[in-house]
Amino acid sequence: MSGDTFKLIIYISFGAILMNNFVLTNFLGICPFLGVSKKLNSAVGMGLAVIFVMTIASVVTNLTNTYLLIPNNLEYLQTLAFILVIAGFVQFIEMFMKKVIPPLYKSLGIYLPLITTNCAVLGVALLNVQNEYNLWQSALYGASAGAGFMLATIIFAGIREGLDLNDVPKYFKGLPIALITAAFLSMAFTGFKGIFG
Amino acid sequence: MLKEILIPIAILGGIGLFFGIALTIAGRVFEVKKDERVEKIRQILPGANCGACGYSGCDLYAQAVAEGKAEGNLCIPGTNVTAVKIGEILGIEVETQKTRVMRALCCPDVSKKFEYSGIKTCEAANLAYKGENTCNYSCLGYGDCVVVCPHDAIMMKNGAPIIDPMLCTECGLCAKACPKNLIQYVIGECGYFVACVSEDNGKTTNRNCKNGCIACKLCEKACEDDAIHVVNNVAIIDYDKCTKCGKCYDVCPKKIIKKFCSSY
Repeated sequence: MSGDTFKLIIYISFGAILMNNFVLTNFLGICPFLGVSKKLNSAVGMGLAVIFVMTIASVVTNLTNTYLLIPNNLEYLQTLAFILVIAGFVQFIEMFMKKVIPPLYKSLGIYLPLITTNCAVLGVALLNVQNEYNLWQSALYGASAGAGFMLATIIFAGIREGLDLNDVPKYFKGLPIALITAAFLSMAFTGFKGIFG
Repeated sequence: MLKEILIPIAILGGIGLFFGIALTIAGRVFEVKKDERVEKIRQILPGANCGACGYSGCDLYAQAVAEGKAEGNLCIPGTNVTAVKIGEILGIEVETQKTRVMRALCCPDVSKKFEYSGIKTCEAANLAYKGENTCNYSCLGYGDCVVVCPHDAIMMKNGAPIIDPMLCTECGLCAKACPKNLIQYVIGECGYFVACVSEDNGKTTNRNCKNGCIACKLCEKACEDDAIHVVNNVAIIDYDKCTKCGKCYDVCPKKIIKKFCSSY
């Protein structure tokens, strides 16, 4: 492996996890971020499912884009085609998992339909195209973006579990204080922006 | 011109068609056979997902019942009607449960032994010297049971929870949430229950709370059916023997033996 490739791997993965964290810097996938972060366990499950779906989605959309859309000058159909391909593929994997690996289906299965057409997943596919990543780079970017989502959700779930034990003013209880916390977390993550100078 | 329209249509349509066919085939190939009894039982269950059966939701309970891992009479919101129906589906006799009602066994009239200013939950307040009330067995009044109740059946009145029997499904979540174990089942359609659990001796109880069982044993003497006994300084009714004559109710000097009815 040449030095340049290694540099690129580091750049893509750390960039997606920390500097351009999908949830906290790009504000994609806020819905599952707020919805499934009440308990640490479900946050981990959701995180794993997101990594899985994002990686798969990156690969299939990259293939669709290179072999179907670009040769026919149909780049303007990307959003539509990507949603179709991702949804179909995740549905297929869900069926496959249910039959072949039931334990995995039990832990991830309930989250899969939730994120199939999530904006974060579509965002990964479109950003892959925008950044002109090839197949393996797309897969890496997808997995890293998922890992970034998982990191953010787990940190947030940890804080929210702690918040439950605190004496929060009545009108800030629940979602309001959670949103304020998310804002602080987001500010903290912007601090990573300067890492690569 | 026509080409520019037709090719995108063909490609997108093609993708759609491909996934449609592929998913249909996959649906056949990867079909997972389900026990149809699970689905049937699930439909009978009330779907409150209250967890009173000990499983974390109606789906899991339905599965456990169908597999024979759980008894068919554990669904409390569904009452005996559900139990009988489950028995019909599985082709077995399901033992029905007795009628019962949830009641809070305390109506405190206490003073404070110190000023508590910590987290406003019963669980936390209980950790600090068993709460701020002079009676260590009394209701703390922060309403953990109100918060935990999924059916909004509980409200706090005069420092103790009042349970609305029309809304209560007897799921028992409040009983688990109460750190003082004050919320308990009382058996029967109508009858009497002792609204105190203080195991302090009569003198201490009398000093701590105006509505406490002072273990005077008048009810024990009044009872003709040997159904009420003072154990550990508190009167306890044996619902198997109780004939609901109400003699203990009449004789109690503290008026802490109270009437209940499952309909109000």
